[in-house]
Amino acid sequence: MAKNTLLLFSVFLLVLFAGCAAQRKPETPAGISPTQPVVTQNETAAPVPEGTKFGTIDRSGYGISMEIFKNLPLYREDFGSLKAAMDRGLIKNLCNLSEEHWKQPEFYPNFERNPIEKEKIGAGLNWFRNPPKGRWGVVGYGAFPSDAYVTIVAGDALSVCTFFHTSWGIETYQGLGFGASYPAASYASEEVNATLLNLQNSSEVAGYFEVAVTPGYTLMQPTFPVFSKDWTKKLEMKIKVKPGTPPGGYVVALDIGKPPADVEEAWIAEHLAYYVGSGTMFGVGRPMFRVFVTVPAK
Amino acid sequence: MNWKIGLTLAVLIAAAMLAYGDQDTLVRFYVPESLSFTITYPATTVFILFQSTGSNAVVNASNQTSAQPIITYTNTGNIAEYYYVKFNVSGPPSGINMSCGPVFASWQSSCWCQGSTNSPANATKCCNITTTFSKMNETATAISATQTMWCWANFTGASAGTVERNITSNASST
Repeated sequence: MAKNTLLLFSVFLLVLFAGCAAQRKPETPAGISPTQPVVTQNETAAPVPEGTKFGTIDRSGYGISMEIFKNLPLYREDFGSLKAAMDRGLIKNLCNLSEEHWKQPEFYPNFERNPIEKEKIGAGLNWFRNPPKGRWGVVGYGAFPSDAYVTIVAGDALSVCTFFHTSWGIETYQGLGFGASYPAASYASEEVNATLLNLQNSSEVAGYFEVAVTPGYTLMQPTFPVFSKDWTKKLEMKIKVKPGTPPGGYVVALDIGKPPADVEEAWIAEHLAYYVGSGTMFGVGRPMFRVFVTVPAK
Repeated sequence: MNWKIGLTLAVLIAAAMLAYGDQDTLVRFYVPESLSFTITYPATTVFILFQSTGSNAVVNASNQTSAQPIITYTNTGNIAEYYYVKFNVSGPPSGINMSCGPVFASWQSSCWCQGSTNSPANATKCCNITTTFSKMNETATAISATQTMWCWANFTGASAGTVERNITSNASST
């Protein structure tokens, strides 16, 4: 019975393929290319309809000075299409993205529009329109994207990138050092009763990976009152899975700490009261950037 | 009959490969969400670290806030303020009793930094206050303007000599 079922299925596929191959092209009048429209006398061909365009950045309606963006590279015409692809999670190779794209504040969620309540302007634009009076932005940074999902065969290495940026409204220079950590528990969000995504023995998992973060340290530059040239940085984590690593799911996270002491001393001397060291007293309860690594079975 | 069996096998193998998934090293996808926060203080405020006084086996450290940080968080969830106070003690002492308060009153007995060594010579106290954000871009005030925070440590069995007080703190002081 099983043999007959397989045989019937194979025959069905063969018939299907044969039917597709036997489709006949429609006949066209002699002398006319099948790709040209047939236009009779007294008629004119309709114009080619305008296709969908994603456009590019348009800051004319922001209501703020364009001087705010003077230190940034010029944006590209395909920015809108790239951003739409980013928003859909289609871009897999962030490490090769042009800085003309990722240095624009519009690249990041929550600058132009609130990503949830889209009729509201984003926190970034709102900061320039309505800066808080009598206060200044001292500490703040973020990562976009904040999670990546990868597969790495044991013995292989893979680079993943995120864009680590100064938060909106920050007037200080923040010195940070970067490394890797292996959180014991990772949740889908920071809310109460969030879904648990991964549990692991941190010290054991640390022995399965070699991670290099580039840059190893950096000086995050201000975003207020104007965007600095290096307000955002491309951060690369090169993750190597050691041979013999058991198959399974792991989480490698970005760890934030201090820059080298001599480097920090120079930054303090240069920026004085505008310098803020790492080890901020605030944390968001999860790493800024996490990589969920699947090590497949051989 | 052989060609039928071959075709059937080819179809089944192709289906199995599709179902089993990609086993190559690659990026599967990025989640297109961001995470960030901003802390503001009254303009031109200067940070003040924990001050330390005292000598020998008892060290008192205290600090008083003079302003109020306001947190803006782009996501929902929790944001925590961490305070680290570390005492390096020469000797070394045989025991330690370390406490911070009053805003950390509920964590006095068990508030240690994850990963810190709980040994007398490297006593590190890490306390945190958690603020919960239920909406994106919500703001919240951190520790209030006039609260006083303090940390003290009582080292027993310290040998003769000066107790070094190496205070590493990112206390809210603005």
